[in-house]
Amino acid sequence: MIRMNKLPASTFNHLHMNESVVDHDAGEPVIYEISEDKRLDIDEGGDKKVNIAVPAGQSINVVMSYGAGSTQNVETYATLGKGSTLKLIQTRISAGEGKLLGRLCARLDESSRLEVIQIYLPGGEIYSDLTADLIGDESSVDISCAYFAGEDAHIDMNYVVNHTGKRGVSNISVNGALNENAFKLFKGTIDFRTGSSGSKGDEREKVILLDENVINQSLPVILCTEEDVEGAHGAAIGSIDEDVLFYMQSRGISPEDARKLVIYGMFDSLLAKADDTIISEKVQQCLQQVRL
Amino acid sequence: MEDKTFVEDIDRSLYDFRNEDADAYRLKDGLTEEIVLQISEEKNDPEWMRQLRLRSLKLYNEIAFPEWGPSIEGLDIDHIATYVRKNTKLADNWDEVPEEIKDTFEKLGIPQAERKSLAGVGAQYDSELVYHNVKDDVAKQGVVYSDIESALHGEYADLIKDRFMKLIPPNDHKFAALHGAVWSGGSFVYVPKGVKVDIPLQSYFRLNAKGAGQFEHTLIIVEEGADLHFIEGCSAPKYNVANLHAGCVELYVGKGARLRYSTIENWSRNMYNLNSKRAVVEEGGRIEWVSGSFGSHISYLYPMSILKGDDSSMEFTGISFANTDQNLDTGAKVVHMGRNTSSYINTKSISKGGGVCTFRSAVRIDRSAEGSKSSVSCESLMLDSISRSDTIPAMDIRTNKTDVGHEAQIGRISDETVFYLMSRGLSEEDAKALIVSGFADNVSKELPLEYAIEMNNLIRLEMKGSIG
Amino acid sequence: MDNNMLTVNNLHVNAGKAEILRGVDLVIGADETHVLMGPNGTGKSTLGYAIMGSPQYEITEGSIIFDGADITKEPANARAARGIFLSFQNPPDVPGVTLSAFIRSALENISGQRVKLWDYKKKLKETMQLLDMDESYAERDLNVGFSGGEKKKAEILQLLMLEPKFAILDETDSGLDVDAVRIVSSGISEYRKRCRGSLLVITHSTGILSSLRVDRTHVMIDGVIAKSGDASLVDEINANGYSQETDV
Repeated sequence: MIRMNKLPASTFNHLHMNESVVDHDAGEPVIYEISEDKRLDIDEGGDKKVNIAVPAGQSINVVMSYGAGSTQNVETYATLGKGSTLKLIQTRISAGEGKLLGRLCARLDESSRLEVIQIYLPGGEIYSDLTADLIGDESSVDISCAYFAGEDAHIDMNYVVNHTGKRGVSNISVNGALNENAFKLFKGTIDFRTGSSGSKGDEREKVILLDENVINQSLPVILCTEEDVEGAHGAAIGSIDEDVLFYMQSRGISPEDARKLVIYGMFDSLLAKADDTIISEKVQQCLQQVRL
Repeated sequence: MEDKTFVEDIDRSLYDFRNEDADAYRLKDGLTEEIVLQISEEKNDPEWMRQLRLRSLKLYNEIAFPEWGPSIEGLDIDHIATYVRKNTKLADNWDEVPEEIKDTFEKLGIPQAERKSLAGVGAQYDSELVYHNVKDDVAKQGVVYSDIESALHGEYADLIKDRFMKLIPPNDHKFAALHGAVWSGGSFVYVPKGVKVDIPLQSYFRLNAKGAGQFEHTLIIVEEGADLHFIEGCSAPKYNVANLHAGCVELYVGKGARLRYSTIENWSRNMYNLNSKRAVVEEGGRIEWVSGSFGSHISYLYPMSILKGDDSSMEFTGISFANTDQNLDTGAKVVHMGRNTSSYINTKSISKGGGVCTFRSAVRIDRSAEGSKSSVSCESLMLDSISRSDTIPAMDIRTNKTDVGHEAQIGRISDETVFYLMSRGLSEEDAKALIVSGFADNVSKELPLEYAIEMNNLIRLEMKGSIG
Repeated sequence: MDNNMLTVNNLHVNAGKAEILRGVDLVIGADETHVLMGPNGTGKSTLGYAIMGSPQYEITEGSIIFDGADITKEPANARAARGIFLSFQNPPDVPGVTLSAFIRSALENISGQRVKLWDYKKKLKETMQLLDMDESYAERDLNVGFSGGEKKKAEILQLLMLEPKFAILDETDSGLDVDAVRIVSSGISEYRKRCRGSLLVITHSTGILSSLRVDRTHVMIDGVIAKSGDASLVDEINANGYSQETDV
């Protein structure tokens, strides 16, 4: 049993959103050490530990692609030196039986920048736990995630950003669509701790519900003990706006194609950010096969 | 705007006076079966009520304290006297109310308010109602407004039996169980079908005794097509030991009926306010909550609306102001069950001087609630860096034919706005008070004028010494 | 068989429980331009939406015949495929979908064929130039953050790209400055020139009409066409208002 996705400030017990208990016996992990550009294809199951150290002033890209054959338990630790940049892309783009337990802990030094892009498609059983500690002044984190959850999918995400340094900036953006009997829980916390003056945090979530059997749970949290900060969060949950559907239909686009356009659109902006042809192609291919 | 804010100064002592309770009948501290049975006897409970008390006591001993909210370590139930009442009978004529209690409520402006603008008034002093009155023309329409104890033996006894602690059952949480065991006082309101009460009914709760608990029960039934505005106010003097308030409010809103429930809560800073409020709304009905939380040391308060009937709706408008030594954990819950139901939650919170405000909510949209809409918006204001403000809104959506939106913001008073107001001649303190009053206008504009003024007075009071 | 493009017979339309249109008759021939005027809230936009097939409005009685086929019960995309176009007064934001991807998808749906990317991009670029639209708009999310004028231009861009047989322009000129009205007007003239399509122009002002040859003018009052006439009726109404019509 692994306890993960713990909400930093717990709430009503009856909601069952405070933490998740996942059935997995962790063994001795295989360890990867990374400090330059790297593409890591993790196809086989098992326990992994990925240590990413970005030296001061450097900028590196790491792409981690998960397979879906069997249960994968991957812990990633990233430390970003002064003025460094890490672009970390984590994807699972394939249907499969295996669970994914993905954990990411990042520690940001002064003026460093972390960009995380996560793509989950077309579902499966996924637990994604992410903590970013903005320790150095003027560090920033940008987390974006797009997912599509189809039949039997269970996606459970917990993103936490801790603002400790001054003038830090955080952005969390999660967009997804749920179809058939998919379940999704997203928790996002921005914690402005004492001393984090001048910091800004923003959290946006958009969920498109395509089927009457889906379950969507959302919990966007802001914790604050600092006066001089700006925090905001917003969530929009529902089926595709009727006005938008009619507008598209009036231009000749069938309701099915309208759904596709909107869902592809969710991924498009993220793929542009990721700027990686292999992932773009995989996403396109996988989307073609998705039942809408 | 300026008129609202710059009313004459009031000071905290308005709420902070206390009366010696030498002549009061007082049960010994702590909670035992013996005490519960004694309360039951004292109140001449029907048998089912006696059983409910005993069952609740058992549940109270079984259920754990909540582990997610503010700490209630300072509360020791063994030292909270559960039943304190003045040696007096319930009066319906103000002149018959004992001088000392009358003086208390006069200071709080209760009878004046009744004369001015209320359809009926109830006043509870510690555990029992001391005064209850309804205007003749309202009573003639069949509106009942009485204490629960006499209603339990009156015309609506069966109705009460069917509804009492059915919305908030004793097993709901630990303090609901406590309430079930020792409840005392409170109000019963019945508005018959189609009757629209066009001026508000009011209930005022005053906890005077040191180290005591208040466990009043409010049961309101608004029948089909009827309309009611009910206002409750609460206050207590400050003692250096903990006081406990664990009331229950159960509201039944019938088909096409509307109930507005307004609360201005100003308990003293030694109060643990662990109150439960819940409404069920039938087809096309509407519940409106207006809630101002200013007092208490610790509050747990999340009025819940169950939108059972199709096309039913709820609106919650709230403000919390936490100052030094206060931890106010407030918000709202709503469950959408009927089709085309809608909920709208709009809250503001202000944290100052080390105070903690938490906005906590839960919106659930059931599979059956097709076509439902929910919108939650909360704004928090931090007035310094020793205070705390948290926002924890949960959503659980189980139909796709829905539209759910959530927006939250946290920030501080802009220096530019303060400067602008100061450039027009206001002091910094007045400028900030004015801005905070403006920030709170979501609630003040929903309140009758007298209450809006009282609320602005409270804000002004809390803002004193906010600079330097 | 007549050569009418659009025939609306005794159309009754509800929005929710309220009846908005109460028996509208209207015939528009091929290659004709009609103007629909009338006070606010009389049902002009509703007629546009009903012809396009908005699910917000329920047709309770009457029929709509387009190009010889009864389309009263068809969904909006089928009507678009037949060649009907509605320029929206307030087009909705469509985040995540770019203007370029949207028009391309619409073209593919209407024609049932894949669009050759190169040719498409070229035509889009040229048409945008015609409308004095910055090229960058092609890759921006549809209507998101567009100003009022930009939204209207994007609507006319779609009109020119999709080349329908019949277009309804709902207050396309409202809220625009003089320059924007000129550009939008020239876009509409271009559409007439290229496609010889019929037009139903819903408007309050004459600005947009100056570059068009108006065949018929209709005045809608309280959900019915109260008066019809030739182009001169536009000037008459601008001079005298609707008062004499409401007395009818």
